Amino acid sequence: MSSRRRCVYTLGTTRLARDLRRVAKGSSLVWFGLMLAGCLDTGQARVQVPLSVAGTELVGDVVTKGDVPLTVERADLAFGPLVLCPGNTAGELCETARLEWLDAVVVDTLDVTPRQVGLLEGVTGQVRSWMYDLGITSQLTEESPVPLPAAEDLGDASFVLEARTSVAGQEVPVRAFVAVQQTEDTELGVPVIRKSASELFDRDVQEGEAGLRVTFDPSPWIARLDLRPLLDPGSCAPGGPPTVCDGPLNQECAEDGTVVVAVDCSVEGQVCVQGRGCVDALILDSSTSGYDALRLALLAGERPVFSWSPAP
Amino acid sequence: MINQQKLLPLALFHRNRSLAVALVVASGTGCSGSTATGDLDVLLESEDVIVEGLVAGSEGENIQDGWDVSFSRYIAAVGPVHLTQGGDASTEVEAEETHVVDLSKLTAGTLSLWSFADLEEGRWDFNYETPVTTSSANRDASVSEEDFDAMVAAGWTYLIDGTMTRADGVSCPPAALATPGDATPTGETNAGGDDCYTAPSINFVFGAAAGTEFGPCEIDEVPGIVVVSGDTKTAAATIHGDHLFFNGFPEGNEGGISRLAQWLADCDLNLDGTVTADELTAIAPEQLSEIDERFQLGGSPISPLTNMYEYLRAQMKTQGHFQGEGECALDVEAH
Amino acid sequence: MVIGGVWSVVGFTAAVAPLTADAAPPEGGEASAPPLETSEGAVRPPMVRSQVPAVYPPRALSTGRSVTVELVVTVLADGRVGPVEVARSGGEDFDEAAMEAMRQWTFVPARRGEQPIASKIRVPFVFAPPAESVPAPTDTAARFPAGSEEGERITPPPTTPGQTPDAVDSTEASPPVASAATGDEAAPLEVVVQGERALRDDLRGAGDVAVTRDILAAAPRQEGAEVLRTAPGVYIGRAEGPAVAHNYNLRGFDAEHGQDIEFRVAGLPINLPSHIHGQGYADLSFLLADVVQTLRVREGVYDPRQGDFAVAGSIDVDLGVAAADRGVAVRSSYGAFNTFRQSARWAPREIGGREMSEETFGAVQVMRTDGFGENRSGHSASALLQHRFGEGRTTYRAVALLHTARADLAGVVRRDDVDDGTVCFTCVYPYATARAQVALSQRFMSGLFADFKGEKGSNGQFGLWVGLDTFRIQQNFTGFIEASRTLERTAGRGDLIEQQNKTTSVGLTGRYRTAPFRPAPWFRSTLELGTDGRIDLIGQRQSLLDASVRNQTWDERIDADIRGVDVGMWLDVATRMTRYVDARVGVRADVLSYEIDDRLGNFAPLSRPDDSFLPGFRRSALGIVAGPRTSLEVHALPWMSVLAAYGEGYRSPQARVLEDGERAPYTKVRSADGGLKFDWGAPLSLNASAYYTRLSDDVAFDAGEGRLERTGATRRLGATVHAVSRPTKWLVASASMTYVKATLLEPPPATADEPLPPFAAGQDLPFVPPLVVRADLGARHQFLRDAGGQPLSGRLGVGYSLLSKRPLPFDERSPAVSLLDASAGLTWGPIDLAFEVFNVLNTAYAAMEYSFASDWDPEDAVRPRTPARHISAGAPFSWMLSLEVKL
Repeated sequence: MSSRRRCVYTLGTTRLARDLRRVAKGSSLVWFGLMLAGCLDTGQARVQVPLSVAGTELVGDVVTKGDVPLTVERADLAFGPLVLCPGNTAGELCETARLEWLDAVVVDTLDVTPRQVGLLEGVTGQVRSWMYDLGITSQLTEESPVPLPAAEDLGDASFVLEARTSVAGQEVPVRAFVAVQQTEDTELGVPVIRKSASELFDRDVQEGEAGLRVTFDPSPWIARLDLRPLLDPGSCAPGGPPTVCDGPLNQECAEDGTVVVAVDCSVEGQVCVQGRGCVDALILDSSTSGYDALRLALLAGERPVFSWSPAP
Repeated sequence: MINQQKLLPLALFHRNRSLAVALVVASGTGCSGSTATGDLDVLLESEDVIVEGLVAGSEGENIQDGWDVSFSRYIAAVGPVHLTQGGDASTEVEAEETHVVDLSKLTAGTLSLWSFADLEEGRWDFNYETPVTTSSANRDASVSEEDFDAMVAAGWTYLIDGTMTRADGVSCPPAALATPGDATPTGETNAGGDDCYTAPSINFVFGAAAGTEFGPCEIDEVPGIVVVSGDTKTAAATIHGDHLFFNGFPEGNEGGISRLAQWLADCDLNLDGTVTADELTAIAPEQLSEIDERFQLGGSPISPLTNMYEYLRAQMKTQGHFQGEGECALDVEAH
Repeated sequence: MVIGGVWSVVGFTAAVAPLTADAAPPEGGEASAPPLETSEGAVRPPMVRSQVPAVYPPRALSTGRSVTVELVVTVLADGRVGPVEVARSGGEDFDEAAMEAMRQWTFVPARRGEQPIASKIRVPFVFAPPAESVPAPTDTAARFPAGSEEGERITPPPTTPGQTPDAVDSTEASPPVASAATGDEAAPLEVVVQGERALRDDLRGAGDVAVTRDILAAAPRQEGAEVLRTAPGVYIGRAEGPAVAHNYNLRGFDAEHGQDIEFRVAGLPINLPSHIHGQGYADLSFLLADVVQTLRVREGVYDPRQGDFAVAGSIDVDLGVAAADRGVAVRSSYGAFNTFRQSARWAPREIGGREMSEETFGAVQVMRTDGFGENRSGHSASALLQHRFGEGRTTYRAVALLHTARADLAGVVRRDDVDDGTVCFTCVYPYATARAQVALSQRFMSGLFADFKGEKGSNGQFGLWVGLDTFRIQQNFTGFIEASRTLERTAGRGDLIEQQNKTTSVGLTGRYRTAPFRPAPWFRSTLELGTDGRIDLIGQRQSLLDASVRNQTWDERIDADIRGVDVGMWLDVATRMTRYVDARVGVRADVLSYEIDDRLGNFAPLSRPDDSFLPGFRRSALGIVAGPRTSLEVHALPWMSVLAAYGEGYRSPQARVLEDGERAPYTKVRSADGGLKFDWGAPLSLNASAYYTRLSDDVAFDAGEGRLERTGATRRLGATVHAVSRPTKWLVASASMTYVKATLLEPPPATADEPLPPFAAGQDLPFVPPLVVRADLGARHQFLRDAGGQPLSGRLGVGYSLLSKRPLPFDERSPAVSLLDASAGLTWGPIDLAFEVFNVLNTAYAAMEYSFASDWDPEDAVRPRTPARHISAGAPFSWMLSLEVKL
């Protein structure tokens, strides 16, 4: 840890202070004392560190579970606030942080161009852990998490995915709106995503720190999706579900497993999704396992890459 | 003419040099220079739930979803223990032994395993490891040779063998992974649409490498332990047993935590009544409908969490405590 | 310890002083007499600072006779003339003329060591008719030999001429005057040092200083405790209102509420051990400035009598009412912010024909104020009683104090919120949790002390005291960042910390100093053995309150009872070798034991089954601490001494954090001092000292818990210059400057919460201002000797304090504080009118400033976690008008 020494010979701005300074100039002893008193080594220094975000260019489709390829068109993530802590573990043990950025922005995780989104503000010293929210923060003073404007821009979601896949030659739009937040069963007032003890993150932040970049790659998150239960063709069976999709055909089943009615969703430009029938797009809402897959991936899946810019 | 009187003080000063020396000597002979030392015994403490099990109920310390849990083996590798002193931890002593102990057999609650002699009296920071087991570790009598060898061979930190029971218990393994064989569903499904099977009792047996350094430790916001000159004090490294059923990874206070076990019951993919490491490894968190918004995995000590075995391993890395409910910071993986 | 009544040493044959021109010069021609040797330290006789000749009574001019009048005059500790009695009458007119003149004399008071003491002298006046007028004295500042409290016979030194203060040329006087007679034919001088006052501790270190009444009274004081600012290197602030102890700062120690300074008032120990708001909590709010006689500041720890909390040093406050101020007085004051103060004091000159000691008085005061900003109103009341009684070799002193105060607290506001206009500088946040900040204090102390004086110089003291203290505070530093550790999912209800501390204390003190051992004429040595001790029964709680719901308790943090015993013992050998060397070698040991009933120990309600154990952690601990206390003073020149000292002291721990059986619970203090003392009499006395202090571990304020928490070892290296000047009889000036380099030698130990504490080894210690300057100026002048039958006099006073920029944690700095106070007063006979202004320049300053993380915007979505500057506003410009009537 470095220390910082500043020599500031300021007594204040009062008239008396100005007079005193004049008097002090005539008194070498006082002047010497003031000079010594002006040099304070506080051990740390206030810093502002530019924070930038970037995405990752996807090359080709993302192959999800069951080898279902997904052409990702939009993967917007609400990111922030971000807190950097001195200890190896964050969360409740980070009552006093080193650096923080209290805002949130929407990150286009498919755009590789770094974008400065703000300044991390705090003090110099070792940082060994981070924690962040995805646009929805839990506050001790609020029973429910609060969406910040960035999450509001995404429809009170932390992550918005828009993609396409193909089922039996028919293109199926896939959309997901995932909110990642603390719930009434989990912790209050702590950012949801925190660095693992086993991850390496160690930086002695100094004055003139050039910047911190957080780079997101959505592909491993998206790859956790398993769309097969929703898109794989099904057929009516005794004791089975009342409706099944067989490609674009939405079939209504009798209890004995026979098809009562079959509707071709594609006629109306729709797709057939298991359990939902004809819909315009496959929406991954909180009732689907795909939603949980994305939520868990964001929470405990692959981390973004934190990289410190080399000093200028 | 020289004023003799004015010179007298100087002369006296010379004459009284011996006095000055005496003063200095006297000033250095206080009790300040003493290097009193004491001893410290470090106990391994098993949280009572490891010995007595967890009980279903609605209180904070209960398992909330109806399961009772007991452990027949809860073998852990613990040690070395490090003591450090000074703000920069410039003084460090270590009791380097690793002991492999079945915590479920610690009916007395504690076992004295490490000793420090001639420690300078005062307050010391307390740190310890739960490492992977090597052949150099000491096998406690509570651990069979077979289990010890298995831990050494696999490099495990923990070997846990437990049973969860619930009179109306069911196991609802993810449909995509389940191999129920001849088992007959109850006709009910869970929130994920997975079929459920009657399972009033389910065993779980797995070993895991969960090397972790714990420390510095504190209790009641007071850090470390105190060594008293001429005395032998005791301190305890406490292993908790309920973290396996936590719904998250709290740092510090465990107050916001619920204990849930249905997810583990759902990991019996082949419905043979025993959940194994292989089954846990095969299941991704998102495949268990029980791992829903009640679970907060954002602070996991292991990432990414790709399967439930990793999830359990991550929970094992949080089980080290101090003097009962005292907290320890987690650090990088122990070697 | 007390000496029996008024005692005297007689038998001096030397002349009173060479008050006449033809007085014989002393042998050797020294400018001042060497001090007399006593076991209590050197006693220096009083010196005449200014004299007024007596006027030959016009009615008697026709007689043309020479008349001698002898007066016995009490020279008070502040140098003024006290009671005057006629010992040898020359007739009513001559007696009155002599007494009228005598009352206008001023003296440099007698001193024991550096301690001013009252004394009695016999002064003959010789009235000669005009034709026989004696020449004016050319050297009137006499060195009166003085006795010692031991009552030993003292060989008077040669009579010496001192400096020449305002010599009055009687030949120029018209009508003719009489000089105080001297010369061989003068009556033997009787010098009597009043023995009423308890024997005081000698000042030992180069930085030790006794601040006398004239300096204490020079500058205006808003309250009694502010007299402390006069001491070199001392600054006190009022960050938490009138019901909470001041924040003390002494030569590089941010003593917070007293953990680094041992305070004693009238012999009663004020610091409270293991107080929940901070170890050594010392609330001096009960002090009434009018009855503070002397402030004795011992910087460093070199005296074995210094006990717990003497880390930066000790401050002893002596109470009393000087003879000139005695009587019954009632004072009413009204000032800015609707502040009203009513006080009364009674200090009878005599009761039943027996002259009262200046230590005997009663005083009471009530105060109310709206305060200078939001949420700062307060009330307080104090009563102080002290009585010296008994005759003979043993006298007794009874003292009692009673104080209560309740005041709203404004707490702290974030500097960034002030800057952006969210909250004003002297306001509070508009939340119930902020507006509910309040403090209450209640204290009673009483002591009975017996002072014994042996025949051959032995002396001793025995005392018993008892104290009751209640402290309760509701305070919110951090806003809304706390979560309950007791109730599930309960957080953000406001961090209104409630602290309660109730202490019942009983203590004793006793010491005995032997008569001098004199193996050779040039060598004398005394041995002192002493003990002091106390037992404290402490109950303390800390909780979180929800102010918006009738102060519902939403978390419990501390619930403990502590019983602490401190038995201190010391040995001190004081040796004088010739008149030039004073050496003291001593050792002090303390045994401290604690019994702690920590009812919340092992309490983890949210994670452990209720039936697995019962919460609570009861434990005991005992520790011994010992160290030397040594000092050496070489009186190298009559006007200069060289001093060096080394000592080791301690600070007792916060008992609540002790482990069972812990034996090393003390903060060890090592202190060394060296310096020079110059004494050119009234024109200038000057101390210059350098010091070094090392603490084995220190404490610093933790806003999250509203109390002190441990940091690492620290070191102070500093220097102090202190000067007092009385260049004329109407002016007194005192100035001091202390510079210190306070360094944190090691960061505090890592904890789970603070794995990397925000401190670096070698950094400047937070909260310590490197430079502290204090200046006091007081002027008094009698305008008219007779204005409607009463004299009319006026006074002016100025006090100035400067605190340099202070480092705070996390690279923050608190700006310099520069405060100027002034006062003016008129006294006409029994009526005194005073107008005082404080913070004349209306400087907006922070009484205290901190740096920590807080969330003072509960409606804001995002809680900040990085530290921010927080301030507690200091008082702006204010005024007070007081009217005192002496009955």
